[in-house]
Amino acid sequence: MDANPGRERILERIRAALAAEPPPGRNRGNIPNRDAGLSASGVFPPIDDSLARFRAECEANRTELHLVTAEDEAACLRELVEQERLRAESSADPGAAERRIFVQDAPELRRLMEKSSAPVRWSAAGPPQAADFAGLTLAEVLVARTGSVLITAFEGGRTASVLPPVHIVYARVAQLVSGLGEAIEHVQASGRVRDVSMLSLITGPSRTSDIEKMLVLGAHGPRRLAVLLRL
Amino acid sequence: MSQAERTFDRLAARAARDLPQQQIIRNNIVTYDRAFDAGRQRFADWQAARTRCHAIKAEAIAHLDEHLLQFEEQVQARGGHVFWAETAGEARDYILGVARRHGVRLAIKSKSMVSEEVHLAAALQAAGVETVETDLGEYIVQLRHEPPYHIVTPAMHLRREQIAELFHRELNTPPGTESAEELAGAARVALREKFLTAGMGITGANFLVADTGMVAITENEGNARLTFSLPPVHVVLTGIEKVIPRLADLALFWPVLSTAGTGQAITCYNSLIGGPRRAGETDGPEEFHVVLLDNGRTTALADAERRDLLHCIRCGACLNVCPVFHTIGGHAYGTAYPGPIGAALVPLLQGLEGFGHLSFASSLCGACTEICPVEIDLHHHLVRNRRDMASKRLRPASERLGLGLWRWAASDAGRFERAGNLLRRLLRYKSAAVREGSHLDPFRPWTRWRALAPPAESFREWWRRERAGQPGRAGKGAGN
Repeated sequence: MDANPGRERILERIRAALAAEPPPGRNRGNIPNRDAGLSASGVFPPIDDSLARFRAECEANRTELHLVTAEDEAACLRELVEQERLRAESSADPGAAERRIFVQDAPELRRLMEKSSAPVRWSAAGPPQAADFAGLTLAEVLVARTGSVLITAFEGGRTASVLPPVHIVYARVAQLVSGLGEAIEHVQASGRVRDVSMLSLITGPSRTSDIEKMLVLGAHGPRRLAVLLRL
Repeated sequence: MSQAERTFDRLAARAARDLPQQQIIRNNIVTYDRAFDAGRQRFADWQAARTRCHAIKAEAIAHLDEHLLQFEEQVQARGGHVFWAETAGEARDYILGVARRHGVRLAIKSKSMVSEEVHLAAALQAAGVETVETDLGEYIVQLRHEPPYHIVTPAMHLRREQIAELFHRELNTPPGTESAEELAGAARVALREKFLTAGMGITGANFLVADTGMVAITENEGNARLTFSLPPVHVVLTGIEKVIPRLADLALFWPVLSTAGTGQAITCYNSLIGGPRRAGETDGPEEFHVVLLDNGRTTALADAERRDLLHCIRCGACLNVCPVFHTIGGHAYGTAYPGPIGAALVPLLQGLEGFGHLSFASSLCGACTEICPVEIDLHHHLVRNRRDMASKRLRPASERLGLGLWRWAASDAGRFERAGNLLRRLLRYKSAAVREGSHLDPFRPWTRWRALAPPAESFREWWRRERAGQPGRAGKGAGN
């Protein structure tokens, strides 16, 4: 399985090819070495108010944003979960009894779900099931410029945010950064990039425009993405 | 004339007459143009973004060997396997081997142009592995047994009613299922079953990140995320040129790719995969393979003049602005990569002999070069391919003769005028002798569809006459 005679031959051809004289202005020595992390600097306009921008971008990309406080966060979540549970139960398919909300096993989410009557499948007990009606996770960081949520396999695994028809994210306003560059820096510095097998920058619910360029939400992933942002 | 060229001529001629088809493409492009213009406004300096992308890609390619080795080392450190495939056949055989070892009977795929390039799905099917495309557009064209029409929008050429009919026939949707929501919903249900039972997931890659050994995949539907998460084996099939030096570079490439590709500020899912599931992670594949394909790319690399063709990020923008693509569509090209990028790149990957004709499928207007987000010198590369075909005598003798005559006539003012007079006279005789556009007409390729009316006099004659009527300026400038 590891016999790969092509490897050396490809590498040899690359080296021989690169020895050929490149056109003026684009040769090996002329290519500037930029500092890592600065790739996008100056390309985008600055952002004054990250929260306002995040809010506007969420609206544009169809992310449902709920600004919550310590007092009303549990109630807000309960209402969201109840809505989706009723919706799942009213659907004609059998197997509604198996339907649960899949939740990343984290102390914060344990606390939030305490008063919920919905049946929970905790991530510590295995991956989400096809019948689960929603996934609830934390996030690594939120990106104001694009209204995005960055999650990793650490947030309940790879499918918690894409298999169930609804994804609910609980995050704190301190997790908000202005741009993608900062978001990438953050997960590199925190060691997540090194320690997990998957990261995904999520911007709005799943979508497709493959049929006559008409936008349809809920292509293969969630049709609804709700962010509970704790102020 | 190669078989591919004959097919191209036939399909291009047919598509050029298909006005309803062109209207569908135009409607699509209008939507794209609007979104792209709005998307560009989000940048403080779109041109600066292009220049920087070009520089990063140039850096990546200038040290391609080092970046690939770094990527390989990092992937292996994350528990993944890397296979280097010199040819399409080697890539197919390796992936078939993985499938056989795991007893895979159903493989699911997300969009990958490289898999089209090596005809992977057909090879898997032939070996008894059911292979299902999961991107909605790809799924639609797979059900129709045809290749994707466009790099980004595979089913761009189809009307909603055609898809409704197809789904009724293939998926048993009730008649009258016609809204985009209902159709996408039907595909979601049909494919969900496949996601949950597949033994292998195959994806492409938008970028290979050298410094962290991660594969970046951009998509809107979530089908790629399911493809690389649910099955027990994940195989990435990609070209060696997709490598970028640093994870941080994605802060630029992600928004640039989505803006140029669809006009979105950022695509819905931008994922990074580094190896199989880690210990302690909830889900994910047990095995992870990356197949790095050469298949002519090192030949393109050796061509220093055209090396920047390897910068391409497959956004499809050059297709969207190309008047030739608008007219002949995506299928006429007969290659995995249509439009200007295909016309410039495929002859280098697969040989001028068989595919050089594609470089003539352009008006050389330069719209592709102007829009390319990584500043590939596309239309000049088309000219360079044409130049090489001429110097290698790959063009018909009649063309050489014709251009030789033209050069001779045009290099002397008197000769030019006499030749023009002769040609106009001959055209008048021809019009009188044979029916315009008939098989006897030597100008049939042109006159079959268009009028060819020779002017009554030459420009010089007209000029002399016009000027003669203006007092005080008669004769001035004539002959210049």
